[in-house]
Amino acid sequence: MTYPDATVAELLNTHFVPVQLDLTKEPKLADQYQAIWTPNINIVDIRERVIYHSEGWLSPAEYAAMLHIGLGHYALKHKRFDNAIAHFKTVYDHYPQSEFSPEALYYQAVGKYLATHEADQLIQGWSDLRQNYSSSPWAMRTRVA
Amino acid sequence: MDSNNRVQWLRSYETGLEKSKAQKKPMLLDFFKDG
Repeated sequence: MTYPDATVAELLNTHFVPVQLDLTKEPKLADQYQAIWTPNINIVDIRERVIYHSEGWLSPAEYAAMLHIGLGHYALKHKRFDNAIAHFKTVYDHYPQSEFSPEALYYQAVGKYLATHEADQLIQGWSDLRQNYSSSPWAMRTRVA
Repeated sequence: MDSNNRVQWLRSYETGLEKSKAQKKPMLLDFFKDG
């Protein structure tokens, strides 16, 4: 089970306001969030915009990695680049085998570029991504013309 | 289950949104289905 996991519970209680709703009893909200399948996770900002979305069961480690990815995207959209970079770094430092690690490397490089406007930060980060996760769809997204 | 491992779920969307605004934290909205 994912939710009784101590790391996941601590992340949820510390960094989020966790809300759990029965899909069948909340048709208006299910429609608002286009939720038709469960588990259906939405990381939502105070203006009710979905920052990150995940469907399907995740192991505790994958769930924790997904939460850090979501926090990274949340920080990135609020231009808190150092915070975003730290969350993305946590993903591949702590969960290098996670399905979310290539995405973390991709957006860590994006965060470094947005923070500095130095192209080398993006080029180096994406190069590391291609080297470490060559078959990942995220590596393919770095192959700019 | 250890109480430290328990997620402090809210069951009200409106309360969650208010708390999210007050605490300046994102809301984690988890839709589930019984059965």
